Amino acid sequence: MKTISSMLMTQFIEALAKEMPVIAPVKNEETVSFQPWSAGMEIEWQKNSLIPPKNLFLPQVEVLYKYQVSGVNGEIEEIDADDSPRVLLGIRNCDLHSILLLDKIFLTDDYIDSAYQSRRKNTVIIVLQCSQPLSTCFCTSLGVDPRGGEGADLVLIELDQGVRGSDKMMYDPGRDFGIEARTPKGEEILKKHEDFLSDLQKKPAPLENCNLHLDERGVKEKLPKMFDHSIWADLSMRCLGCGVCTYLCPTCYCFDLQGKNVGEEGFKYRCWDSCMFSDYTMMAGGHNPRPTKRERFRNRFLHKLSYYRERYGELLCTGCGRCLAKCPVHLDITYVAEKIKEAKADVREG
Amino acid sequence: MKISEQIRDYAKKMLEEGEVKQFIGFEKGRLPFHSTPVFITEPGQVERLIWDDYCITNLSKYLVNFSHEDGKTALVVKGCDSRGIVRLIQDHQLQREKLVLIGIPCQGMKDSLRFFSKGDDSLLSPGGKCQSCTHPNPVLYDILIGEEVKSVNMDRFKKTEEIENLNIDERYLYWSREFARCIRCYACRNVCPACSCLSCYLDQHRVDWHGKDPAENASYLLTRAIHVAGRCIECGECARVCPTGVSVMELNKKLIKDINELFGEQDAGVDFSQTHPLCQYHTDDPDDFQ
Amino acid sequence: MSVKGKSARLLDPLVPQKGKIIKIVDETPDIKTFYITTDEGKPFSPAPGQLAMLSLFNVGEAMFSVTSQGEEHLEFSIKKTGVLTDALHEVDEGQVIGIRGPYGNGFPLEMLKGKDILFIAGGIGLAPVRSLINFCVHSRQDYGDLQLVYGSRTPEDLCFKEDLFSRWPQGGINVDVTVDRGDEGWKGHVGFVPAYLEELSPVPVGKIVVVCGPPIMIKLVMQSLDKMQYDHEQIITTLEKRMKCGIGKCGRCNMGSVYICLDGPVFTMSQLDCMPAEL
Repeated sequence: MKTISSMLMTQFIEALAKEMPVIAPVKNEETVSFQPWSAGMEIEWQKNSLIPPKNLFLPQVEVLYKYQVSGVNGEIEEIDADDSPRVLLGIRNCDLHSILLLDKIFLTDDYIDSAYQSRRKNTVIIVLQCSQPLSTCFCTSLGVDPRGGEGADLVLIELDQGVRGSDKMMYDPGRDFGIEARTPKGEEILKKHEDFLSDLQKKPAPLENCNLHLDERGVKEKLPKMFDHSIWADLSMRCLGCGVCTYLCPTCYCFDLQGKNVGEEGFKYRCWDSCMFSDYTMMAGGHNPRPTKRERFRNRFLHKLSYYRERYGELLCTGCGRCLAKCPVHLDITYVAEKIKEAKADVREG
Repeated sequence: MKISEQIRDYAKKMLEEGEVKQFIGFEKGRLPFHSTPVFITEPGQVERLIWDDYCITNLSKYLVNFSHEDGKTALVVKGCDSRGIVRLIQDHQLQREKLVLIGIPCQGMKDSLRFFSKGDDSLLSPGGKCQSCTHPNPVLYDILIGEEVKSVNMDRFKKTEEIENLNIDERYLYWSREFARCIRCYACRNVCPACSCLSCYLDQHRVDWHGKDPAENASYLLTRAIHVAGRCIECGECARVCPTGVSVMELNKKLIKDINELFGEQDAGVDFSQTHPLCQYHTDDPDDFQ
Repeated sequence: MSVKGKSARLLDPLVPQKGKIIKIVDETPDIKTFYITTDEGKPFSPAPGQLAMLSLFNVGEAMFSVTSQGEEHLEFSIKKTGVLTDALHEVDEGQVIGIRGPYGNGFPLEMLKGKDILFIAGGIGLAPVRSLINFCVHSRQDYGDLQLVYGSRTPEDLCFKEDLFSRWPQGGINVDVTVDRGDEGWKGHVGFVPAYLEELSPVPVGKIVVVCGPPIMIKLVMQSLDKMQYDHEQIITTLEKRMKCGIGKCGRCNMGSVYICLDGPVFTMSQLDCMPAEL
């Protein structure tokens, strides 16, 4: 393992940024999100971003095509996907896992999403390993290794400093990192920038366990029989029906297609959407198959805990804990799974 | 007797005697600093009810979901919850006779939602919304638990004035940065007791209507602020639930301050006799804009 | 099918081809049939029961079943129900229109081959069934008895009158038509579809039922079919939901883990019995 000192880290990033854009977690007020980095910007090393990095592959808004309309005539103009290379720096393993889950949606054999695909191909991923979980973290329950690097080209490793911070904060910016390549692309980058690296031998920081767990043993077996269970009305009663959970979730991928007209021209765009919104399944003519919070809430959690697994074999959750931290009424997935486990099997809606 | 126990006693009695159909209060959530709304319909479930330093959510908006059902609903109200209820009654969304209100004077609540962005320290002091609270005591209740508390006399428009004092470019920059963080999750709208439209103008699917594009963030946040102007009860829930900390409440504060300056001091959701300042006309109304 | 159209669909499944409405037929006061083609000919060759996304660029996009097709065009019968369909009813022939597809599974042609088929439809529900009826008429010798029971609110709401009263009977299909309310000129049957069906009482043996119509009609028809001892394995229907992508990704049209746009819209009743009822 090579190491990179905190002093040289900035220079390393500057050198990378000369070759291609570096996207890294930075702050706007208290909100950390992944943004194009430029010299002088402070990277948030200490804790994970609030806004998940899914928007780098599935942007909140993405123009699909432009059109012109004139009387009965019209033209479509396709938009070329931006395939310029870039570096995604500082993504955590939970969020990296979410990208692998999104791949199953957007890169399946039947329909390859070309824009998504070119963004995936042209992004060098440098993952930042975690060793100290926050009290909202439960990634290990979802099979995510916070010290892993599956899907990454390079791995940044927190090193054992001998002293643990009492403030439970990870990655003191003054610390050094270990760095390892996981792909030929990663090796190439290390080789090119070997001036910044040293052979200083240090041990990785000891890994602390998550205090929180998503215990879904038994949930899989119970859920198929619980579609009409009274639990959905009970749990959803306090749901605000907002989109905090869906928009902050690194794995929620459902989208809307909308259009915008500017005179006789316009464009069609794909944008994030939330299954919690009332208009999401509303049909022309006013019929809505999911008319209340109960059906919408049920669909969201069944998608996470059941439907996605039926199609792709995994839970649609990475244990990042954003819903725990930010649901205004604390209806997070660990809570819902717990309630499903506790529920009596056969309480049906009256 | 502890407040939690008194709440449980009242809830048990009301549910057992059939005075109310359900009792809305708080229960403990997944983590120690999670206190969340709970809806109790069985007397045997009242042990779930608690009262602690984290009961910060304004519960009044939930009542809209039950306004068309038979039977009474009881709920615990802090100052801000009670003002929300007054406002909802004034907007003809609720009927007073279907409510039993257990008032609890509030010392200010801690905000678990700040934990993720600010860390453990955030849980030591009352949330931002409580720091500029003008009515910690319930303004409307049937039963009062605990002693009334003194309102802290703070300058509630301190930040509003700071923003007013920025020059136009600085102010534009400030709001651009704020609006840029909005992810359009509509938590601010959904929690707001003044946002009581059953079907929001935003939830219409039409080209050329309001889209989900963040480029339209400013028009969303400003339209909402104007729509609740004069009816905002200053509970600050909009800003509190905002996951990205957009200072939504500063838009409302600015409008409240302007209304107060133009039409005299107003406090929405405090007094049933007070009419909506923007819904009436007097010949001596200021018309400086002309 | 043009090579260009095919590659566009596989790479950018959300981007439509540019099509053109070449003919518009008034079916009823609120239903019109649109004939659509592209500069390169037929946009694609859907199987009976498959779907396509149509868009007026500056208005919106929605999913419709392909009701029929010719050598050079596709046909869509569309009822005025919302923003896009209102706008479609206002356009003239020659209108440029976006089209992408085909989507969905279509009717199970292998399962239908050699069988007697009973088609049951109400109102605009005949539109998706029509693609299958036309397919069967085209290869009439591949099927046993073919019977259609069709109903609408009034005689003027009957869709595809030429098919109903001339082309399909001549093509070897027994057509039984009913209306909820007759008028002065109406000599045919009056009554709801489920009641008429029980009156006709077709025997279940060797038969596949294809049913499509408004949800309430399907519900009552199902009760009648249950009464007549039809097995849910032999009943097929085609579903409708709000759809945006058409390829099982955007997340709206699912029932459980099944996406109507991708795995449907055609299901047997026994399949639906095993799926969460979210219609």
